[in-house]
Amino acid sequence: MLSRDMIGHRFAPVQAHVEAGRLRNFRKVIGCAQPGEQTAPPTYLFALEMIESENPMAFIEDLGIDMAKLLHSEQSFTYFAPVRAGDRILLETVVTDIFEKKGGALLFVVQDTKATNQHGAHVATVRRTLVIRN
Amino acid sequence: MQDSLAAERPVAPVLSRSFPPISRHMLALYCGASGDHNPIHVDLDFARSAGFPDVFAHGMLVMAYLGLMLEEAGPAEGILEFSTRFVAITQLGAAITCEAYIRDMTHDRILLDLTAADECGDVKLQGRAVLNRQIWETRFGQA
Repeated sequence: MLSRDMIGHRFAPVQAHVEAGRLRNFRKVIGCAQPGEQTAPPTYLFALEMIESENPMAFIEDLGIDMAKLLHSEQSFTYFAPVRAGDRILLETVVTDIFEKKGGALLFVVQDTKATNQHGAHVATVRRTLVIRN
Repeated sequence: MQDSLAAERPVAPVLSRSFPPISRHMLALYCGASGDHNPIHVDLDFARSAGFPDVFAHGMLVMAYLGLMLEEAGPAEGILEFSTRFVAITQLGAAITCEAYIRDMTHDRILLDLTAADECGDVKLQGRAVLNRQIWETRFGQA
């Protein structure tokens, strides 16, 4: 059972390469008419972590979360600098909060990811809030 | 007495973008493109075992639609913050329309309210974006 003891848990960092072909494919799939753009689309860092991770499901498996009970509650991106094709981005994720609602029927897990580029610049902070239906 | 909702939000969105109905094929493509391999979005058997009648869309696919609406209007470099709440599950076949409304402006920021709703008007995602006003202002004409 997931408890608040897991607040502060750090996931294995992901060293990710922003590949032009991957960016193009992502844009084509969502219906972008100009998929050749070299700047990453606004939600791309979320995808990048899963694309490049050794274990894309580590963010739930480390915490013992049953994937069948998982839903996405909230997502936010705060950008400090653009992410472009060719960049190498370090993604470091930590559990920042765990809380219950509805008498424990819903359990929320907040994870913050810091994205740092190859020049050491903090380019974005990505926050996902997951909800587990107990 | 003024309608409080109308007072909160201008009637016309400053941005609007519609997308084709979400097919199983689209969910498979997005699964590959995004690296999000959660089977609940592509495997009917898994979705049923989890208590859902069918597979359903990745919330992040619909958030990517909102992001594309923004990107088509102005440069990604001018987007400072972008956030959403996943209010309801986006069902297979949903034809999503994304809209942006200007909520507020400061001397250097534009705050947008964002919605993504299906063809029945049911809101699936509610969000906001904070834009660099200098970069984005001309995109909204007289706004």
